[in-house]
Amino acid sequence: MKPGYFSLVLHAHLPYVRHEEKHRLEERWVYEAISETYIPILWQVDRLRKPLHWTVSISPPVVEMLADPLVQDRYLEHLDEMLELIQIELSEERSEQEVDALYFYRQRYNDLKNTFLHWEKNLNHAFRTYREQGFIDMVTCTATHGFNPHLFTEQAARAEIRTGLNCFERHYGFRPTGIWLPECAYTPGVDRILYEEGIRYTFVDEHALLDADPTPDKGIGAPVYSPHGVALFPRDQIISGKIWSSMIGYPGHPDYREFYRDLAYDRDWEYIQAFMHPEGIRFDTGLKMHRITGDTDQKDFYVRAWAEHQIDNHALDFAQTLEGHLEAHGGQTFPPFLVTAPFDAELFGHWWFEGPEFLGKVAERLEEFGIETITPALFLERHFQDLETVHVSMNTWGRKGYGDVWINERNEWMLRHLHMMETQLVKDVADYRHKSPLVDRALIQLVRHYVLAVSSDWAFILDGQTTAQYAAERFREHTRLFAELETALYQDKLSDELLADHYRAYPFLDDVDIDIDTFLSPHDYYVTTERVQEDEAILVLTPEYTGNVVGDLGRRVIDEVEARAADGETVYVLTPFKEGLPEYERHNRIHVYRVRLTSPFLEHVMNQVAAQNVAYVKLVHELVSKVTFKAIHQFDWMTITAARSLAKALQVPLYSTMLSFETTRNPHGHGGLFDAIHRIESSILAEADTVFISEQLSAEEVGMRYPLGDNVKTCLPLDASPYGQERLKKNTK
Amino acid sequence: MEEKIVSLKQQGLTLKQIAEQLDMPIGKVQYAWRKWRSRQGEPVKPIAVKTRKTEGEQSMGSKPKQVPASSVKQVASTLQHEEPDQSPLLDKGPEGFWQLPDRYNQDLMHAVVQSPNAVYVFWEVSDSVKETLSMQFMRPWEDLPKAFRILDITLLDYASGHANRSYTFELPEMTNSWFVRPLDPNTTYVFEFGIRTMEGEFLPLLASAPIDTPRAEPAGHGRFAEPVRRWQYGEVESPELLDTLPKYSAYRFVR
Repeated sequence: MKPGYFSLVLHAHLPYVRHEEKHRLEERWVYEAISETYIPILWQVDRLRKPLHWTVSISPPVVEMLADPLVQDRYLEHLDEMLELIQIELSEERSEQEVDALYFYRQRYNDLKNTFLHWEKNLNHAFRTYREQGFIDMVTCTATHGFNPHLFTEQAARAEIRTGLNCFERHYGFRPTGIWLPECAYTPGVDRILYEEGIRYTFVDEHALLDADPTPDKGIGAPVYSPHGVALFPRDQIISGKIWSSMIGYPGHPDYREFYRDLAYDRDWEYIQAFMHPEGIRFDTGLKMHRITGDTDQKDFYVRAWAEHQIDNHALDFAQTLEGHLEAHGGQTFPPFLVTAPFDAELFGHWWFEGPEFLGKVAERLEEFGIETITPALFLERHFQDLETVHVSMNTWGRKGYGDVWINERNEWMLRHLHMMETQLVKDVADYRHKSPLVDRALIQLVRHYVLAVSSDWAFILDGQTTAQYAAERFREHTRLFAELETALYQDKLSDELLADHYRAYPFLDDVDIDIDTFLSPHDYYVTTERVQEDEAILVLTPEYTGNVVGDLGRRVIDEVEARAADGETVYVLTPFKEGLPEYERHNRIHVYRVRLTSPFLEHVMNQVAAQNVAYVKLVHELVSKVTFKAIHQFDWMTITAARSLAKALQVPLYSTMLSFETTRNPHGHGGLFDAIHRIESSILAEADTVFISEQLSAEEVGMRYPLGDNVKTCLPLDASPYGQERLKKNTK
Repeated sequence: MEEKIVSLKQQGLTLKQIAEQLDMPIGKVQYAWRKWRSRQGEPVKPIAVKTRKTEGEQSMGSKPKQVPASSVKQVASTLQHEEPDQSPLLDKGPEGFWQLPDRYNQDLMHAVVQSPNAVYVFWEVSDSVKETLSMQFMRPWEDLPKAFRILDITLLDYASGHANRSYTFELPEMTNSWFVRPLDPNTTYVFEFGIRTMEGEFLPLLASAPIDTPRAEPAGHGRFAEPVRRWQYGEVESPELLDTLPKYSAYRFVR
């Protein structure tokens, strides 16, 4: 054996494109992947029948579609149609070369059909069997290939990961310790979730390691641990690139099959129509009769024997290249040098028709060359002690290496809706979980709609702009279904029929795969189940409170709040944050929130006050999700605008206490700030239900500078509640 | 074909989008759609030009007195915690079919990484915040100049208010997202949306969570090396690293 290892990883993924209605063009993506990639790869495994150390990642949408009787039966119909077309083609007067190619296809489609039927139409059984026989290893992917770095919450990322693992385990009978991160997209923190979900390794592109901090000693010659302990296996771009790039790699060889020339486009419409879409759309049959030939539009017919000859050449060349690469790094120990080569499985067969045979031949050559192949799982078993721990920043294997494909001007419109669904799921699960079996099933169905919407495929397709309308439609449809079901949940209109309808639209995942508690936060659990229910509360907005008392005002507020609490009222006090004091504290019925400004360094008074008021409004928006306010009581001019705006939004009575006015504090004042404060003070006099002014102020004097109405009163004694019960009832209807 | 048009329409596409998708003249699509509608017994209304609700039009800031009571109620129903009666994602277009909501009447700002030099940020300002500001500054929301601030807070605490450097620029009215570029790799940023006050001061209304741009070159022994080592060897209780994907809590401010 030579020093070093080679590890091949194939990731099979398609978006979930199963539609109940017939003749959806997108369903042909599945047929193509089965005919050109999945079965041909299985053929190679079956031909070699020995441990290949290939790691096959199969995404939950693919697993589910392969297991779906509707897709299975339609695929079989498709095979029969193809055989029929080939038969008709053979009955026509075709050239000798064409007939040879047709014989090749006739044999091939018969083989496909036999293999498919051998596995009882469910190819999951084939992969599972070969894995159990030790020929290949398997991992899976997240539920719908959601792009991790752009998810908003930990819960959504966890749901994608756990649901994917659950689905895979249901079909494959084991829970893998590795996972394929969609688009090899790593983001700091996803490793913690992966680790907690039992995942010990995943794959990244090579710049993840080359730019890691600290720079790993072994470069990309060995995997590293992320900060939370997940091994990251880097794609070796030199080796992968050899295959990947059709310009410099093998697939562009003139003897290989031409991808872009299909029989459908070489035949008259009248002739081919029967095999095309009933609405008259021409699409690829999969019978690609030509070879690449060269940089020309004049393509020659495909000669299978020539292609097979090139497969042998290229497999040999690959093994030699790899041998040289490993020898060049032969000095590396602890761990030995590892070349990891992760690929989209569909590259082999679908894009590069001869790819699966190439992989099979490579496996044979590597054995002859004495190059050791290994799975990441086995590598970790042997060398787990020899890996460095480093920080890896966000990166992917996509165009330019980061997020450009999945967030750009063509697909950014989706993100705010996805984030909304995430936060709604967190809220809905907290509010409704375990209310009834029916409600739990509705929550599961909401998660299903969400994961179908969050698939990275929609953003990817919109980026590429081919079949963009389909992707946009699918995104909208899942979002609409989410909205409709959530509304039914809120309106108590759930039924078995409704849930069945929603499931039937996209019967992806079993209910047992989806764990709604992935969306639950411990804090929400406390709030919704353990927190003591409170009476309707008084909201107090004040510039001064305990710890921050400057004069009479602060003392007055404290006294009033404590008197009302003693009366049995629940009071929420919002007051500015002050360094050294807690942001939140509670004394029996009094909640005190010391609210930070949206910016601590504002120079101008009016801007500071505005920032404080905005901060109050934002906090109250959050609080009203659980707290019901029956009245707002604001003190001093500095809290007026938030109080007015909130009183209007919440439709509750507004009380104001003004111990002084700008004109009484500053009788000879003038200028912009003076005028602005004066106007704000005037506004509360006009809008508050009752304004209490200090007994030390003369109403007459105030009245000279402000419009005073019937709503202005002198402050009540502390033991009298200003919140007249009659008024409250009248106003809170 | 009519079936297809109706189905697309019900998925929220406009007639124009349907025409484009099916590669048909818009007149044909309109005709098929009207025909179907009239068969359903619905009055055939002239096809209205799609009028998107915009941030500006929805604001209550400019003429609070003229806002019809129903819309105040709507805000109230989403604000007071009586059970909401419909999903925030449920919205109907002028023709009565579901469409993606234009906005959710929330205060939020999210940032996601596009590349080492670019971050995508989207945000939304609630009606109440808009109204509070217009009361404070006695000017309609639409008239308050909007601005965006980029803060480099690498190795700093955003709450302290300090930044290594900052850059503020004006935004066009009714903007609710931005590709912020060029940025520096391997830098911790916070983004803020706000207004430019009369004095020229930037008043932030929303801020994103801190976010690290990716490194784009070998780090050597960089700013993460020591925090990683301390975490790896258990010298700290929790990692001194900025992780994305925070645990979200719907009632995080309810105590």
